Parts: sequence; structure tokens; C-alpha cells
Amino acid sequence: MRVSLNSIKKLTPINIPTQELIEKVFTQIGAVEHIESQEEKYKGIIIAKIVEKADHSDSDKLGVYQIDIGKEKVQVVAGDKTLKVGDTVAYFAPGTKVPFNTKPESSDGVIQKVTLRGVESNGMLGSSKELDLGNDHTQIMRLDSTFEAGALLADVLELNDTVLDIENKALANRGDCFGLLGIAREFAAIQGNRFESPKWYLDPKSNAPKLSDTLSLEVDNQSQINCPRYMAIIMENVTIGKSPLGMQVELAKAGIKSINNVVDITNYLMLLTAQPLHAFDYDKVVAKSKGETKIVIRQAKTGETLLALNDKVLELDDTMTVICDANNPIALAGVIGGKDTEVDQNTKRIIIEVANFNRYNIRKTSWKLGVFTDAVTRYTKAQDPNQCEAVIYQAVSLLKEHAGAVEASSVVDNYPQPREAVELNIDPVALNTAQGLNLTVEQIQTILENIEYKVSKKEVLKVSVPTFRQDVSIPEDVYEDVSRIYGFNSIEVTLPKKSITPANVNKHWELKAKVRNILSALGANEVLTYNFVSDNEITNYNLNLNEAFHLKNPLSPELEFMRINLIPSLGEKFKENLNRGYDHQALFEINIGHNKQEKDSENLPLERWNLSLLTTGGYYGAKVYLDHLEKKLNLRSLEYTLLADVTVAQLPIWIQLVCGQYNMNRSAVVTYEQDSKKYYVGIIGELSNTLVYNTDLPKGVVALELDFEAVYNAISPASKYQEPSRFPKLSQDLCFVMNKDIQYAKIRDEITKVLKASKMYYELDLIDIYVSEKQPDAKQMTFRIALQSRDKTLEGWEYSKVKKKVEYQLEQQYQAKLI
Amino acid sequence: MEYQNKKVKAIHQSLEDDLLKLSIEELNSKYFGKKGVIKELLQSISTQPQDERKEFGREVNLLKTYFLERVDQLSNRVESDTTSTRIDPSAPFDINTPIEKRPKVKAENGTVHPLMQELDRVLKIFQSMGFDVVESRQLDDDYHMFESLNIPKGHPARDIWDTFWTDENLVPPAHTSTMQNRSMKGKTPPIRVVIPGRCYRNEATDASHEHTFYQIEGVYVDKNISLGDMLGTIKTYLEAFFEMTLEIKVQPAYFPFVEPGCEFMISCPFCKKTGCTVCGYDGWMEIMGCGMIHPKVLEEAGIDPKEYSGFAWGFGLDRLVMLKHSIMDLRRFHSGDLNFLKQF
Repeated sequence: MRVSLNSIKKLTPINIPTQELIEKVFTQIGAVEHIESQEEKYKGIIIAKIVEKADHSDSDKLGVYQIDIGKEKVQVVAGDKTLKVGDTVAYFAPGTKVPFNTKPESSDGVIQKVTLRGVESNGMLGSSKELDLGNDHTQIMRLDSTFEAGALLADVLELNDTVLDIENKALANRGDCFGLLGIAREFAAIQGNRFESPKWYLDPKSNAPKLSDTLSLEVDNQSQINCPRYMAIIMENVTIGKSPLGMQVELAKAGIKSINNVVDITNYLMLLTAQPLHAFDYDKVVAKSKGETKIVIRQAKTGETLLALNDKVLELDDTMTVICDANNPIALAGVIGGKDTEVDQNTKRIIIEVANFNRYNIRKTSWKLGVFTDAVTRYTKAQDPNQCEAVIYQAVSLLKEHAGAVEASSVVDNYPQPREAVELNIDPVALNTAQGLNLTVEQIQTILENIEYKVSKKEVLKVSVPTFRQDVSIPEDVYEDVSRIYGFNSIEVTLPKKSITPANVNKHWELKAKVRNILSALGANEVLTYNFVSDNEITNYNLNLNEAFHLKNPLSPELEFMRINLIPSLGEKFKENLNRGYDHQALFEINIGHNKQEKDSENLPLERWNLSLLTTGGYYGAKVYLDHLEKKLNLRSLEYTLLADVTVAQLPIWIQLVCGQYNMNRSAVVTYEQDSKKYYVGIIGELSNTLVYNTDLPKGVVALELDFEAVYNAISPASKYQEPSRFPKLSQDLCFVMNKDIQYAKIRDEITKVLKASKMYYELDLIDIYVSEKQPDAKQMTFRIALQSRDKTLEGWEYSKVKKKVEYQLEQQYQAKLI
Repeated sequence: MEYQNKKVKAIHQSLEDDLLKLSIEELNSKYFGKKGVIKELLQSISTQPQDERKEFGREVNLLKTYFLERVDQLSNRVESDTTSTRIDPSAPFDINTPIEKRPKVKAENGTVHPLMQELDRVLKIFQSMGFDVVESRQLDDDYHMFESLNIPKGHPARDIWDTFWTDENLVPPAHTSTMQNRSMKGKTPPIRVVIPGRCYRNEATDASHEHTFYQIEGVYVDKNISLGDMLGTIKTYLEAFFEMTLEIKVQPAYFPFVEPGCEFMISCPFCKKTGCTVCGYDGWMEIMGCGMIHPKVLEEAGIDPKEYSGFAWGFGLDRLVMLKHSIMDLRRFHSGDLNFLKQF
């Protein structure tokens, strides 16, 4: 919202320095995005009078003028031959900067002394567009003849001004602050002044137009819900022309371009009150409905269209509210007017509409059609239906004054359910407690009355909320007004009084932090990747697109689906890093994937935290990370089942959904056992050949996906600590030969059983696994077994006893032989 | 393709069978080797009767082309996983792997993501202040994202957030406030909780805008909690985070789930208000949105606003980490670029 301080000064005094005011606006109203000094913008522009006029000998478009600029007379050439001797214009001397540079690509907007087709031009005369006061670039802007030659434009047009652009976001619930009256009210209050709205606004009846029955206007409101109030009047005898220069300037400072007196008056009143108005050409409306004078407010029919003022044909549907003549739409209610009934140079009679529309409906329509106008901005912030009356009466009086218009009908007012003021009881004690303030009842009352609340004082304050404050409905809203205007920054900074109970530890978060530290200490790099992936990133990774949630409004096709798991994201990052020269990588991420099958207790998509890792080196290149995690986190013993040997349908759903990514002969499902029950932790393995082929990932890339919750549950409560022994260790390497299909873990567990039973300290390490070409069915495993007594030096025979037992057990259980 | 010549037709049929069964080498030797079947057919063209020669030659050449195309396709074929060698998944390394080739981790240059390092530090500060930690969701419903926060369907305030929607009208949350209702529902104050999590906004990305980013929400509910308490709590946290004393000020802001709502500002911790590029020579930095929880939001969570009051805040993590390390481009965080990550 652009706010000219000069415009505000016409409504309420500003009695503190500008800088201080801006600081107060910042901390008590909302962020000021931009501060524009008008003085700077209009610096050096001088009022000039035409004293002589001649045609250019070499051009039929240019005029040569001698102008009086006060101290002297100079010659300028202008692209407008219609100026007359005596006209008052704005003159840019060489070196002056143009407020609105119409040729930004070719110049920096600084005026030079030039020769145009042989005739010297000492500067330039400004069009309204170049002066940034209007839209017209076809002719030189004519100024008031009362202005004296040589005066500064900034002085005569009150351009010695500062325009603040207050962030719309901060005012999003303050419909009233999209009008200068609302802003002025706030400016008064933050200076500690009492604001009083103008009489025509407070007491509209005093400004009521005279009744006329020259013409009659029928209004049929069939969409009461979307149009709580509709007021209109017909005016005749309208003379379309320029609006007063002062009004043009005020509009320009607010960023609204002058069009003609009628449109400017509607815009000016909107700027002042935030209430949008619309003017229809009465004769065009009547012609369209073949003589009937009727305004119908109704829902559009699907398939209906409207040629809008922005020259676009809008396709309407039945959720949208339209203003119609007897038959067809002539405006999209509260959003944009229709081209066919636009006010133009020949307009003689107009219908002025001042209406209140439902903010939700306006927002929906505007978003659906992509039409955003000043009216939409204001209606969607909620406007007060009660102010329609004051605004339409004031519109009538301005149209009479500046467009020679005369009332041609009475004012139609369709307002079946008038809005009542909200009455609230404000307990000063509660207010002070909630805000951390210590205000007296009188202070509170003063603050509220300064912004035109009606307050009657008892033990509690009885407060009547002005209806232009559509945002205030509960006491807390009033508290906000009081503490904001008193000054948030005057509130004493305190700390809550609380018991010293410690926070609950979030064990999952702690485990995540621990896992991050373990994996990074092992050389892995944590990445964070988007939840959004493309369809290819799902299908090329052997996942089912139907399981992934699809976004209705993705940023791009590359970000159209919610990922099912993290592997595709890691795979894509892996490839990018490969191109950066990282041949060996271990990327991991702890994050969430979603699928359509699994739901949580709220019946929302289950959010399973996964720990996923992608690295090189084949199956065992990933397993080494899992082996480390198992040890560092003190997990229960993890068990591995080759994917080729499991029944997929028996796996948890999430593993079923992702197991197609893995090569079944070179991957395993990871589980652990607790109280004879099997729990699934995740899946690990080399990626499927088709996946590698489709994604261009290098061969040997291997992935690990763990359910974080399962990892947490797998943590063993038992400590594995043993008091160290001071006696020497005996160690031997033992090589066993067995059938090649016997798994390492089986042998390890069998040996461990024996070692445990020995009651000695032991260490068990796998040294080698060997299969010779000659005997492809036989596998040799070499273990290093170290034993240590707890209380004495171990004898050789004692070691041999344990060794024999190991040998016997492996022979019995697995027909493995010591060699 | 239907071949007319009986001999060509028979060879075509046996070829179709062999394409499924034989390896590429076997196919080549059987059909296209020195005494290959197709080779022999080609040589026999010249011995055909004059009137059949042309048609026979055409069919033989078609078969030849077909054979070469299929073999070409097969040689590009992806090998089925079923032909891969089975491994022992329980072992720490593969059979016959010499010691120097066994899987090892490369311990150097492993890193924790800078955002997660910082988040851990932030959470430790809040935990020391007595706040529980609950992580936010990444896919939520309209109720939690909007309705429970006093933003009914169609409310224009929804435009503040550029929200993504799934076909099912689920929402990747645009703020961590999506967890406010859950953090209070069914609980008896005092409630003190911080909620870190991912947020998503449907806006074009550039060096200072990301569609995915991290926020940290805070919720504090108890008896007699005032706006002054909010200012004090947030100030205390920020001073611990920046490890220095700070000046604070607040600015009114509108969020439908708080009343009043504020933007919280601190004196620039990088220049101590002398002016620097970080604060844009303003001396102040906008650091978070906050406010007193709206009575309707408390009520919706089953907490009596007459008995209890509270405050909430939400701030972005990414920008703080950018400032800390002078990272110029927000998009680096989700780039997965090892050149970036290995520096932390």
C-alpha cells in the first residue's frame, strides 16, 4: 500500500519528523518496503508558459515553441503541435532527469540539449506519462494556468512529499488500511493523537444526494450470500474530461494512473476508503438490454463469457458472481468491469456502483481466472458494508463538482441484513496480563478512542468496534490494538515462571545425530535431497508410479511426485558427483518417503524415517557400513537372508515396494530376532541390472535402506563390557573346509557358542574365505581365534581343548573339517 | 514377416527358437559363421532357377537383415539378475578377496550436513531451556496445515503460503505450524515444545529462494503467559545461539493463528549495528515470525483460552546457516554436491 505523507496530512496532522514517523510505522503498523522521495523524483522540473509557437519547417509532427521559464525565454521542440500560446506546461532543462523514462533502453532519462532536424531544442516539455502523473504520451501535459512561470513543479503540485510503501502482507487482515483513511487513523494513533473521520464519512446522511426520478433503476440481487450490499445511482449530464490536477497527483503518488474525471473519482474514493467503486456507461447498458434499465446480480452460468476491461475474454462458471444487465454479464462482481459498458469520451450518463462482495468468493474467482486488480486486493481483505453509503454519496458529490453530473435516479440500496457493530467487554486486568503491560483504564480507553472505538467505562470497558474494522471480533484483537499502539517495544521483556523439570529427551533425534556422526566418521557424506521427484526417477528405479503421491501443482515436471524412498534421489546425486570426479562415494540421507499403501494412526500417509546409503564396491562395500553401525550402536545380532531366498509377499510393505531395485542374488533382507520373533530392519544390496541400465549408474553401485524405527528398536539393552584381563592371549588361525553354500554367519555363530561356553575371554576374526578352481563346491574359511583366561596364564592344552570342541561342533553341525 | 519360400520359412522358424535359447556367439556361428545357415542361403541364390532367383534373393536378404537386427538388439540386452552369482550376504567380504581389496571405509572427509549440524545445536539450546523436541511431518492434511490454525477453507490468508497439493488434497506443509495442534492436543500445560522440520513453498527457486527449506517452530502454553514472556524467551534463545547479548525489537505482522502477531528483529550480530552487508546496512535483522497463540487455535486443540495462554514462533534455519558460513546460494543445501558438503 503506497501512502503519500502529504495525502495523510490532509486527514490528520503529522507532528513528528518523517524519520521518526517511519520508524514508528515499522514497529507499530508494518514493514515499510520502500521509501520514495518525490522531491528527488521531480527535482529541477520548472513551470513554463508558451509565448510563441511556430511549425517546424522540416517536420509536420514537431512544433517549435518559445517558452517563458521565469528568468528567461528558451526555445524547445516538442512532438505535439496542439499547444497554444498561454498554455502552462512542465519544462525539463538540459541535465534534468525524467521521472518516468519512456525510452529506458536508449537513454538514462537525463535530458540533453539536442538539435531536431536542424532546429535547436533547449530541453523538453513533459507528457503526463513522462511526468509519471498519467498514461498519456501523445501530447504534452497541460497544467493549471494559475501556476507561475519559473515555479518548481514540485512546489505547485505538492510533490515535496515522501511516499511510503507499506508491505501488503502486514496489512493482510486490515481491509481498512487499504485506504488512506485507515492508514491516517493508525498514523494519528501511533503519534498519540485522536483521529476523526471526515463528516461525510461519519455521517453520510448529511451528504445525501437529492432525490431524482428522471430515470429509474431496478436492482435484482439473486446472490445475497456473495453480495451482501449493492448500492447504485444513475447520473446524467456527465462531461468526460480531465480530473482536477490535485486528484491526478494524489492518484499518481499511489501508483494509479489518471484516466478521466469519472474513473479518477471512483479510484480516488477507493484510495481514500478502500471501498471499490465501478462506473458503467448507462446508455451502453440500456442498449445491450434493449431498453430495460435493470441490474441483476447473480451467479454466472457455466459457459458464459465476459470481455473484460483488460481486453481478455473471461470464461465464467457458476461459482463466480456477475453483475448483469437485464440478460447478460456486464461485470465480474468485485473483480473487473466489462469492456462493452466502459465509460468513454462520449459517455453522457453513468451508473455508479458501490457494493460489498464476499471476500472468499472474490478470491476464488480471481485465482481461477488469474485476474488481480486493486478491487480484488481490497475486497479480499474484507470491506465494511456499512461504508458503502458514505462512499456513494461522496461519489455523487464529487461527480457533480468535477464532471458536471446531475442525479438522474434515487440511490438504490439493497442491504437486507445490515451489519451490526461488535460489542466486547475488555477486562483491563486480563489485557495487561496477556500483553505484559501495566496500563491504566484511562490509557486503554484513550488508545481505543484514538482509533474511533466507542468506549464506555465501568469495571470492565464496554467497547463498540467500528464496523470498518472487520478484523476485530474477540477481546484478544482489541488487546493487540492496544499493545501495538502503545508500542510492543515498550513491553517489559520477561521470562515465563516455570518449574525446573527437564525436557523429555527425544531418543529418535538423538539416535539420528549419533548415526550421522558414526557414518561421517566412516567417510560417508550426508546429503539432503528433495521429496519431489520426476516420473522417470520412479520408473527408472524400478518403483511403481501408482504408489507415489502426485502433486496437482508441481513447480516443474521434474518435481511432480512425492518420492517413495530415498534411493532415486541419492542415485541422481551420485551421478552428478561422479561427473565432478568423485569415483568413490558414500552418500547417506536420513529422511522420509511416502507411499499410498501405508497409513498411520491418523489415517495419513505413514511417515517412515529411513536411513539410506549409496556407495560403490558391490554388496560388501555397503555391508561394511552396516557392520560398523551394528557394532557402534550395540545392535542385536543382524541376520541376512538373500533376497532370492525370501518370499516377497511376506516382507513388510515398504520393502516389497522397493525390493525391485535390488539384484536378488546379490542383496539381502536384514532382520534381527528378539524373543524368537523376527523383526525387519531393512534391505541391502547391489542394484538390479535393469535399474543400472536405465539410470546410467555405474555397475557395482550398492544401496542400503533401513527403517530408522527398527534400528532404534534393535538396540540391545545389554552392555557388552568385560573387565579386561591382564594375562597373555593365545591365538591360532584355523582353516575349515565345507560345502560352499554354508553361510559365514552359521559357522561364526557355532564357533561363538563354543567360545562363550569356555568362560574365557575370546576374540574371533574371519581371516579369509577361499574357493579353489579345482574344487568349486568346497569353501575354506580361516578364522583367527584368540583366547585369554580371566585369572591365569593360559596353557597350550587348555587352548587345544577349546579348539577340539570347535572342530567337533563344526563337523557335527556342518560337516566342516579342520585342515 | 511371412516368407513364401519353404526353405527360408523353415530357417526363419528355427531362428526364432534359437534367438531365445542360444548365446550371441552360438547364434553367430550357427547362422552367420563360415558354414552358417544364412551364409549358405546367400551363396545358393545364384544356383536358383532363373524365374525364382529374384524373389528368393529378396527373401534371403530380408532374413539376413532381420537376423543382424535381432542379434544387435540382443547384444545390447540387459543381463537378467537371475544370472548373477549368489553371494553369502552374512559374510564381511566376498570369497577369494585378497586383503588389500576387502571393503574398507574411507574415513577422511566424511561429513554431517551443515543444516543438520546447526539444527542439532539449536535443539540442544532449546532442550537446555526445557523444551521437548518433536519432528514435523512432510505430508499433512488441510486441517493441520490451515483449519486448526484459524484459517478456514477459502480464507484469503491462505495466499500468504504458496502451498503444494497432492491429487488427494494432502499438503507438504508450508510451515511447521502444521504441528501446533498436535503439539497441544490432549496435553495439559505447561507445554514447551520445539518442532524442527521441512517446509515446502511453491515458488520459483533462485539464490535466495528454495521450494524446500527447514523451519523450527516453538510452542509455549501455560497459565499467565504474556507477550513479555515471549520476547524474553526468544531473546534468551537467540543470545545463546549467537553467543552474545542482543538488542531486540518487534514489528506487527499478520498471521491468522496468533493475536498479536509480530516479526522479531535483533540487532545485527555480525556488525553490532554498525552496518554490514548481512543486515543491508540497516543494523537490524528480521529473524522470525511470532505471536500470542490465537484463542481459537487453543480451543481447537482442547485448551481453555480463559485459563491458559501461550506463544508460538517459527524461524528458518537455512538462512542462519548461510549467514554463519557466508554461503551465497541457498540451493547449495539440497545440491548434494560433494565439493560443497566436504567442507563442513
